Amino acid sequence: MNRWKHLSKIITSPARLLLAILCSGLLGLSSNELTAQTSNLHVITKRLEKTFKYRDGYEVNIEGEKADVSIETWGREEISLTVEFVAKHPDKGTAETDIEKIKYIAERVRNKIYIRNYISVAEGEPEPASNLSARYVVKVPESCPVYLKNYFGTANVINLAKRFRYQGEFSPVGLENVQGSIDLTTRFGDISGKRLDGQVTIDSRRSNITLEEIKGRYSINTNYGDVRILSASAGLLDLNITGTKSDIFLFDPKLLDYSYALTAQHGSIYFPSNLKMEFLKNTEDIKKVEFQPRAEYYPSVTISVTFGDIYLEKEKTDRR
Amino acid sequence: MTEQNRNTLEKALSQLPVYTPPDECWQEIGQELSAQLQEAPLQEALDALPAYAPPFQNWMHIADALDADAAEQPLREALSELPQYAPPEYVWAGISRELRPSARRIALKMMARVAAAIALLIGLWWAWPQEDAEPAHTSYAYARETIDGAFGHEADWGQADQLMQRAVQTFRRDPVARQLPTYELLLSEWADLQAAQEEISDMMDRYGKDAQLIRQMSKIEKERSGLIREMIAQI
Repeated sequence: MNRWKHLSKIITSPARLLLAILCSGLLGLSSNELTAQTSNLHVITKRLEKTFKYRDGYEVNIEGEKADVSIETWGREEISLTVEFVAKHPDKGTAETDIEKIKYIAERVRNKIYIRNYISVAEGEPEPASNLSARYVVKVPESCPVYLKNYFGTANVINLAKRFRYQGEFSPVGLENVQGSIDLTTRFGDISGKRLDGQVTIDSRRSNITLEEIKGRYSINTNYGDVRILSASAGLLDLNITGTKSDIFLFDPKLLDYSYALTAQHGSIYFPSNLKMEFLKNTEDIKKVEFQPRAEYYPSVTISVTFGDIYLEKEKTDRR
Repeated sequence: MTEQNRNTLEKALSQLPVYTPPDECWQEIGQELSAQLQEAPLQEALDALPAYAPPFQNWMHIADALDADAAEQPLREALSELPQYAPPEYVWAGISRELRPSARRIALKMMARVAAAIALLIGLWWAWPQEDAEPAHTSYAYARETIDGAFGHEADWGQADQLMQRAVQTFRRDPVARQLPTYELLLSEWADLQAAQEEISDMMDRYGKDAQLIRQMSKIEKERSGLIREMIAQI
C-alpha cells in the first residue's frame, strides 16, 4: 500500500520520475565488469625477520596499513616478527623502486614493542605506481597482550589468553580461541569470532559480526551491521547487544535456559513458540518482551535494536 | 511677693506675636515619640542582658599597650627632629649593584638547569628504543604473476555522482521525507559512505588499485546505490 502511494507520488512528478529513471539506469552501470584482458606482473617480496625477548608486562603494539596481519602464540618467551612487503607492477624497475617506499618500524620502547608500516616518498620522487601491500606474521607468548590497529588490511588472531585490543577500519578480523579482555572497534570491517571467552566489548559500524561458541560477558554495540550469534557455550554469563539499523540473530538449542529482555523499535521480534515471552509493549513502533527461566542461575540476554529485527532460533538455517 | 506693673507686663505679653509651628514639626515629633515607643522593648531586652566584667588580664594587656605607646613617644619626637640628607648618586649605584643576583641565587638557577637537563636525558633514555632484539634479517624474492584484466584498473565508479547528489539534495529538502523516522539516519548513512569512498580512493592513490580495494570500492558503490534507491522511494 505504501509503495503504491510512493509510486503515485513519483508518477505525478515528471521531474522526480526522470531523476529516478536516470539514477536507476546509471546505478546499474556502476558494476565492475572485468574484461578478458590479462596482465603479466613482476612481484617483488621484501622479507624481514626480527625477534625480541619477552618479559612479563610487555605489550605488542602493531599498526598496520594495507597489511594482512596474523597473530599466533607459541611456547617460547620471545616475540617473533616476520614482515613481507610486496610490490607488483608490469615493470620490474618500478616495482623495485616502489618496494623501498614502504617503511617500517619494529622496536622496543620500555615495555612496548612497536611494529608499524607506512609509505614514505622522498621530496621530488614520484608516488608509487605499483600495487603495494604488507603481510605480518607475529608470534607471541599466549600471555602477551596485543594491541592491533589495522587500516585496509585483514587480521587473524588465535590463542591469545590475556588481552587483545583491536581498532580496525576497512579490515575484516577473525579471532579464534581468544580469552581474557577483548576489546574490538571496527568500521567497515566484519568481525568473526569462535570460542571467545572473557570480557568482550565490541563497537562496530557498518560491519557484520558473527560469533560462535561464546563464553563470558559480551557487550556489543553495532550500527548498520548484523550480529549473528551462532551458538553459545556453557560459560556464557551476559550478552548485551544494542543495534541501530541492524538485525540481531541468536541461534542456540538451549534458548529456554536464558533470561531475555528484548526491545525492538521500528522492528520485530521473532522467537520460538515454546519460549513464553511476556509482552511488556506491543505497538506498531515498539515491541518489548521479557522472559525468565525457572533455574537459579542463568545467562542474561539483553538486546535492543532500532530499525532492526531480533531473531531467536534454535538453529541456524541457510537463509539466515 | 506682689508683682509690680503686672498689668503692663500682661499687656506686653498679649501684644507679643503668636507663631504656629508647621505641621511637619508635629509629625516629626510624633515619629520620634513612636520610634522611642517601638524601641522600648529592645531597650528593655538590652537592660535585661547579663553584664560581664572582662578578666583582669585583658585590662593588663590594654594598659601595657598604652604604656608602650607612651614609651615610644620620646623616640618618635627625637626621630622627627633628626636632620634629613639626600644621599649622593654613588650610594644608589652601590645599592643597585648589591641588589643584583647573589652567587647563591645564580647557583640555584644553575642547579635548576642541570636538573632539567638530567630530567630530559632520563626522558630520552626512557623513550629511546632499546635494542635487545636481533638485527632484522632482510631478503628479497622475485616472481611473476598473471592477472585477469588490465593493471591499474580504470576507475568506473562515481559516474552517477552528480545524479546521486541531486537525489540526496531533493531528499534532504522534501517535506514528506523530513517526516520519516529514518530521515536523519539515511542522510548520516550517505555521509558515511561518501567518507568511505574518499578514503578508499586515497588508499588507491597510495597503494595502487588492487583487487581488494576495487572490491571494497564496489561494495561501497552498491551500498550508495541502494541508499539512493531508498531515498528516491521516499521522495
